[in-house]
Amino acid sequence: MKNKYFIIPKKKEEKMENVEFLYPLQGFCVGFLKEFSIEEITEEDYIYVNRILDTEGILALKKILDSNKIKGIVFEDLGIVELLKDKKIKKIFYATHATCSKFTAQTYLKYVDYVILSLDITQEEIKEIIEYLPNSIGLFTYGLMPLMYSRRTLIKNYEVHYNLEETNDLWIEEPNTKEQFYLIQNEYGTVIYDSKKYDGRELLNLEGVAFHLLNLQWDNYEKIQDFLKSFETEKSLENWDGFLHQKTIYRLPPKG
Amino acid sequence: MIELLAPAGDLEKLKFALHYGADAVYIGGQNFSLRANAKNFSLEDIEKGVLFAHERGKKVYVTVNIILHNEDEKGLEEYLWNLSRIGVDAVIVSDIYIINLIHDLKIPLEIHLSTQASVLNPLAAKFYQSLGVKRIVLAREATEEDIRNIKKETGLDLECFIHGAMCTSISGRCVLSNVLTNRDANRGGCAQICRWNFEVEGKPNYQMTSKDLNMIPYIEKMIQCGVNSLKVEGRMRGIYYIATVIVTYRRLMDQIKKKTLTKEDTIYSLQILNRCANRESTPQFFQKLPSEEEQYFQGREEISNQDFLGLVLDYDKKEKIVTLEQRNYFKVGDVVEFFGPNLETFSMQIHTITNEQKKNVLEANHPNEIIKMKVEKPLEKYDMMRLKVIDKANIL
Repeated sequence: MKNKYFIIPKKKEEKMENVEFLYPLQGFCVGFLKEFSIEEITEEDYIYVNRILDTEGILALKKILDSNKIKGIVFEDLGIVELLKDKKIKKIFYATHATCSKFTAQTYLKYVDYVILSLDITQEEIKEIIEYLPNSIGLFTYGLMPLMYSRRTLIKNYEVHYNLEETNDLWIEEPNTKEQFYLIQNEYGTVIYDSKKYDGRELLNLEGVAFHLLNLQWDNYEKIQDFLKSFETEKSLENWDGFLHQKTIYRLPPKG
Repeated sequence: MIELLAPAGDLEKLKFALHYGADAVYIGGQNFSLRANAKNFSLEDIEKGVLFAHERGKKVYVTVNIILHNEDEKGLEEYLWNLSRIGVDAVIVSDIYIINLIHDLKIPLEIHLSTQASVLNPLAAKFYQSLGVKRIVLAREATEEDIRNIKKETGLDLECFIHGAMCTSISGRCVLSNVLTNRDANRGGCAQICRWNFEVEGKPNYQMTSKDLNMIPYIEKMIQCGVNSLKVEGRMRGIYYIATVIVTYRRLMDQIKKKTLTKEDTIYSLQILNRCANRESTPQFFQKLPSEEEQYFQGREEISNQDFLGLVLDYDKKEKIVTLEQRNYFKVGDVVEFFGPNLETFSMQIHTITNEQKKNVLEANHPNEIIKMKVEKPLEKYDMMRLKVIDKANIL
């Protein structure tokens, strides 16, 4: 494999060359099919904490990190920078929608080892950032793309309101565009994903990327090696390339 | 002093917000701010707004809360220096680069951290404190316990939303708008997808719209928690909404300070605010996780009203005649109410209406027409007349 990967798997995996496994930590994540208890994590593993933590949450995390060894952590709550000030573990900041410029990424890098760029930026923007900050930037390159994170239990509320059977996931469709979205919830909130898998494998050719993050929790594979081999060598057939070639706007054109 | 902080989408709204009792306003410039499609303030208007506020001993904060893309950095430094030169009292920022830039260049601007940064715990607050942030606008998801803990651990100035629309997502954690409309939510283009309807195969339609926030029942508790600034949402709202919401909270805060607040006052305030916003509101996250009760499922259930009838332009004390600018239809016989920042709200029945041609008419049905009416109690310029729909005497 020519690239370095961080992979969110759906089961505990054996160590692999050029791959770090990133395990969503039970009780500290929202939006995953499978979370992993701290007992399952070894000092060779990275943990993923994507919750915006309340006071109780960050104190609970402190307790866990004080008594367990891990290799590193990917996180979204900047309280974790403060929490890990004196700990020698790799710190990777991943704000799914808040690191969109080279200036912002460079600033975060004063406090962490790596930054994973946000999802809503173009390939041109990514290139410019990587050139500016080589070997410090990770890219989310494959998997369901999280589009919204709410603290509310949005599936439960709907099911309670209509007296429906309780579930933890739901498919919804916007009737005009026919776009479908996938919701998944736990007690800490709800994540809405685009129903199409994001596939940014064209980013694999960029020089200077520190690593590529792949979320394989919704994929069928026998062996991760096989998945990666085909990911690196075959072309994407029907997946979605997100915002790589779709620049968003924020001012509406004048009326008339 | 506990600050009442109002939104202002333009200079007129800024003046109304301050006139109706806000201690400070927050405004957006034409660049680097969310609400990109609001009218927003030119630098010249910001300067006028700051002058107007400072002359009255009040403050102006400017939102610079965009999430930057590479291309957005151009002009930022000059803009920040301009805000400093104008003398704005603080900038509200969410992108860490902008915080750092102000700090590194030693631009004399007080930094308030935007709610877009989603601070919910003391360690996150400490992190930003170490960057020079003086005040944090806490995430709307902050509970009473979170607020108390952050205050206790950091001593930072805390600002909390008390009223207005809510994002369904944690602020800044949503790009549904980007996907469905190509409009960038985090650069001010949000198309409010969380207020749309969705279909679910074999099940009722899905909606995730949050009811509005309304902290009337908990204002006293928020003050006890150590909140320094009570913030109202709504830079896109009109003057009637701003005036009604601000004067309601102003009175409530003053009554709390004087220890004269009654249950009747609280219920009346709630009813007035719900009517004014056209939709229901609840306290949301302060004491519990919002349930299905805090959401809409079948449309927004908004009932549009035309309660705002007129704006007072002048009052002739000798003749007891008010000059009003009409804002919505009213007629002889209607029971109306006058309210204002220095006015004990009172109601009366309309007996005469005189139009601009000095003719007595039965109805005021031309938008913005200037009319005169007999009103026994004295009024001031910028007081407002509304339809009387809630009778305080009938509460309790």
